[in-house]
Amino acid sequence: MREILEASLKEITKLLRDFLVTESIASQKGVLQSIDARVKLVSLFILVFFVAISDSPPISFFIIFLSFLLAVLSKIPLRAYAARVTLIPAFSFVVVLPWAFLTEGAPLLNLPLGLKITHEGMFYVTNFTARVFACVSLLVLLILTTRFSSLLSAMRALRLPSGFVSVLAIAYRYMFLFLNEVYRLLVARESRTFKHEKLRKTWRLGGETLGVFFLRALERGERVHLAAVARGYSAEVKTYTRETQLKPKDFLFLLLSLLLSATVILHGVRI
Amino acid sequence: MSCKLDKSDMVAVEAHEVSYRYPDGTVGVRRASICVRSGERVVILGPNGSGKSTLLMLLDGLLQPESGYVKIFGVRLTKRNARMLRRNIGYVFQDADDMLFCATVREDLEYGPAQLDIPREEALERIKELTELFSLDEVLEKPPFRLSGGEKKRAAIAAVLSVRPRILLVDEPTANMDAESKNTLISFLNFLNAEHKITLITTTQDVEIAPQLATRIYIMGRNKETVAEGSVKEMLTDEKLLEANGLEAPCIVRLFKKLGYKNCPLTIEEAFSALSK
Ligand SMILES: Nc1ncnc2c1ncn2[C@@H]1O[C@H](COP(=O)(O)OP(=O)(O)OP(=O)(O)O)[C@@H](O)[C@H]1O
Ligand SMILES: [Mg+2]
Repeated sequence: MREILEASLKEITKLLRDFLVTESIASQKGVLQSIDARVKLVSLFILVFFVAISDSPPISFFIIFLSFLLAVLSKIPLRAYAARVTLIPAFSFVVVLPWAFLTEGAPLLNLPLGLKITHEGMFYVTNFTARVFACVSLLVLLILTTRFSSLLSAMRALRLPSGFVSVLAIAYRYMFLFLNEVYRLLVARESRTFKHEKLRKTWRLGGETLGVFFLRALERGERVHLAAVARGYSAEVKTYTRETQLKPKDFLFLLLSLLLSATVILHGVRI
Repeated sequence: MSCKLDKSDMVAVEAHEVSYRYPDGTVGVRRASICVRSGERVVILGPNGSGKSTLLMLLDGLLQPESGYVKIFGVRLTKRNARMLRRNIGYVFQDADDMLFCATVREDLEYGPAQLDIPREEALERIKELTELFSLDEVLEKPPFRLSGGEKKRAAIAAVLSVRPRILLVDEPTANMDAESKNTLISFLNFLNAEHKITLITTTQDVEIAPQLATRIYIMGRNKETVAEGSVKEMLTDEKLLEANGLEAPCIVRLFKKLGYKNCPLTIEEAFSALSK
């Protein structure tokens, strides 16, 4: 148990940290990478919005299928993609699962102790999970195929409030920094742990580690801030915009995704 | 100690009796003074915790001294003009991890020029140059945390040089580096100084590399003051002074002192010619 706890903590941290910096995919030459960040941002967000309010599992499955197709066309390793898109839906599945039993309706399956799974309940769980899955698939596509700096420039170009964009930029940087710090702390601790400890002690140590981590993260945050100031940082982070004219294929992409959104509205959104 | 350089010399960096205390009450530096001419190479030598890093932060205007003042090219550093004056200064932190906070090394190299509104084309040109100079092309698209210690250091220095500073502050340039990386880095810093007339201020606690990095040395002691200043030879052959401040004379000096030499050599070459006489 202890090993699993410790190891999975380390792995999750590493995964999250790497998740934030997978710009190797963003710098490859694939379909989505070649689309302007502004266009991607707008069209995927419109699509996500309508998928989120839609009410039809087939539509969600169709979007998921399309996302995986786009992932392949964008040279995203499928395993990496799947790992990133399944975590959140799996979690939401667990959260909504009780509704399969709790929703009133025609029984689908009778279980002992008077429990029963209803048609309506099953539909609700499937629908909810599929919808989350579809939205996450789209968002992960956007994140994986776009450099974070391009994303920020796109937001600025789209006139999103500059305060919001700056906060996002800083949050991204610190999140990465924090995760890196946790990871290093866990590795350092592991390297000095020789014997098996009782679970309770592990928890207590975990608490202490967390405390130390916050102190260290604060310290480092402070020094990183100074380092940024030393290199000219003031209130606003500036990045070089790789701003270019929109190309025909950007318009095509926008058109296709608007058509897709229309399909989602027509077939999925109950009015 | 005060600035006792010739009036004719252009002074790049001057600190006059600066003191700094950290918010938790720890004294960072105490009445430290240094004075560095434009184009000079100076080492600040001191044991751990003697305030070297703190002094560099004060020189870069990142911390404000409690008393005393810092002047950059004759202009007194204040909170208000720090941003402007800092354009002249490149500061390489002791821990490269603090400096490389972007998603990729390339973005880190772009960061400085972008903040200073340097046109994109020019920035890209400089970055290309630096990438070659520092052999960074293979790691350019990598996230900084995947780099080795030496690569991180090179990337951090390149990131600072992309804004073309006239003064370079490098905190512990050779800590955690293998012999080859160390030598490359030292000759590179010296090249910057010789070719681009960059004023070089480095800190170290390593008496063996100090002669390679400077012509003049300031010594900081455990009491966090600048206790002595002089030529490399004067400072590094003064065993009493070094020992009193938690340091030790270089190996060769100790050997030749033991052999009874008055005029101790500092480098292997000097030692060799002294011995072959
Ligand atoms: N953020 C901080 N908060 C409180 N005290 C600090 C902080 N940073 C440094 N100090 C203290 O200030 C003093 C000088 O530290 P500084 O880091 O400048 O020394 P240094 O000469 O660079 O040491 P080293 O060779 O180990 O890098 C030390 O006593 C240290 O404990
Ligand atoms: Mg230091």
